[in-house]
Amino acid sequence: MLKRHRANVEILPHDVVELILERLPVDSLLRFKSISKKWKSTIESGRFQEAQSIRRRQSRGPDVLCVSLKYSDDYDEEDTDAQRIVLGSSIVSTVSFPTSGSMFCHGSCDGLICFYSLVELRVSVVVNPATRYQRSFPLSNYEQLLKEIFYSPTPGLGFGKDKVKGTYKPVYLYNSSEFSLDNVTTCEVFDFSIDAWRYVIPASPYRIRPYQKPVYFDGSLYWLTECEETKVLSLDLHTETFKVICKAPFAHARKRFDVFLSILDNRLCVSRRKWPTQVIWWLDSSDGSKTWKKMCTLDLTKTSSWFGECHLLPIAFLDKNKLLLHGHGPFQPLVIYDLHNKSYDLLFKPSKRLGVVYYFESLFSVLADA
Amino acid sequence: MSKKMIVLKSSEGVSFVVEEAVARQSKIISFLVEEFPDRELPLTNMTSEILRKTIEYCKKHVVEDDGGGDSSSSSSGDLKEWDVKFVAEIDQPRLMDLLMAANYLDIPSLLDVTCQKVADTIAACNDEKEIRATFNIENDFTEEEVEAIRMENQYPI
Repeated sequence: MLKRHRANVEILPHDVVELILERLPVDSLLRFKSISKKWKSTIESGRFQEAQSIRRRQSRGPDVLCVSLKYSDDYDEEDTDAQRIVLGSSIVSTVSFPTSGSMFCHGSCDGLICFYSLVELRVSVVVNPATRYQRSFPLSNYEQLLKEIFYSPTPGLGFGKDKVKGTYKPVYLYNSSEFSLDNVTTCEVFDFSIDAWRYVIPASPYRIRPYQKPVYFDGSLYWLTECEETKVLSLDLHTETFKVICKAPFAHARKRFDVFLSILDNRLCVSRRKWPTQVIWWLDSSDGSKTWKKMCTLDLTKTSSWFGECHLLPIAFLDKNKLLLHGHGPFQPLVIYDLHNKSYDLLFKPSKRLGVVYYFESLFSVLADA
Repeated sequence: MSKKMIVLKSSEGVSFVVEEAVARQSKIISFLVEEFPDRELPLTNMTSEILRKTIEYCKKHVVEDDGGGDSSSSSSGDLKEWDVKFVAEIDQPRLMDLLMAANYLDIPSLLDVTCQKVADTIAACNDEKEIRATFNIENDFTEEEVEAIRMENQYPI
């Protein structure tokens, strides 16, 4: 149409080429870096990587990765569980990395997954499963302290992004008294640009519930407090300030494994197990105020043949109304709960310990914007 | 009530009489209609064939606005299916032309479906030469540089 000079003018202007490239899967983009210098520099630019990530989120539902967790790096077992299951527009697949950890952060941030090992004192690592990029980071003081005084109810690592500066931050928040430290809580943040941990002062004024993993959502990390009345605590990853954002939708939950935060459908959720049911609420902040709305109620008697009486971890909504559930312990199966017809179906039963996370593939690495 | 019609003229000088509501899906035409009412709009960089295709798309996607609110002529599911068929029937060079037309005329939904179709076609392609030919791109890498990029992508698994 537009006057075409086949000889040496590219068919499309480069801004239009970028619109096409944004819609490609990451593996194609990695290959297409060898098309031309212009394509390579586009695909490697932060601006394009941001556009690809936004486009990926808009195009279809989240994928789910089931990652083999490892207690040491010196063995590499055969992947006997290999799975690739398509559910609506989402794909659930198994994956293994040469370096991972025995624990993993909740969900993913910008297509990056973070592993750590509180007990074995191994370095932590951030992985981009799509590009196979990985970056390890050293032990925090918290992990060193755990070596001295092993105190079991240990909160896990948080991983998120300062949305203003575009930098990624691993964060540990823990109750001070267990380690005879000052203040109520202690908070450490890892800074990739200087390759070191530093303290955030002041940390949370409230003790946090043990045995929990913070969740990342929209520039902040979230924890549940250990107060008489459970509260939701946030850490803005840009300003590095703690704030109580609201009360939990239930009174004090005594048992340690009964309440958990999660991110479902781009919403902050909290679930509470009270045998024989588990209720999941989501936080509605649309009209300025914060109200909890009930998302669904799980009937634990129907899942007890797989999970016993345990609390179930909701992973992601797949194919609109199918909620993927995973148990806490090793070798737990993955089960799909259909919100419409209230049925539970086994997806698969792994033969080893898996970390299950929702995920949108990207080209990001932790130092892209630093 | 008769609908307001406007005239679009292709590069070959062929006139197309189109309902204004149909043509207004193009933000450029929308602007031109307001600036130059009652004038024929010459689209000198669009062939009759591509202009006809573009109008066909716009006719299908026009939202009827005659008091009935935003009742589209088709349901969104049907429309999506229609779009898939629409781009599937077009060969690669014409698809590129249509994509450029959508870009030039600023028709976001047509730009989206054509970009997606090109992306789907090239995503599966393993032959770099074919992709360069599709976009008429010159290879400005040396053999060694191409090899280095390939190595970079070979992460240990």
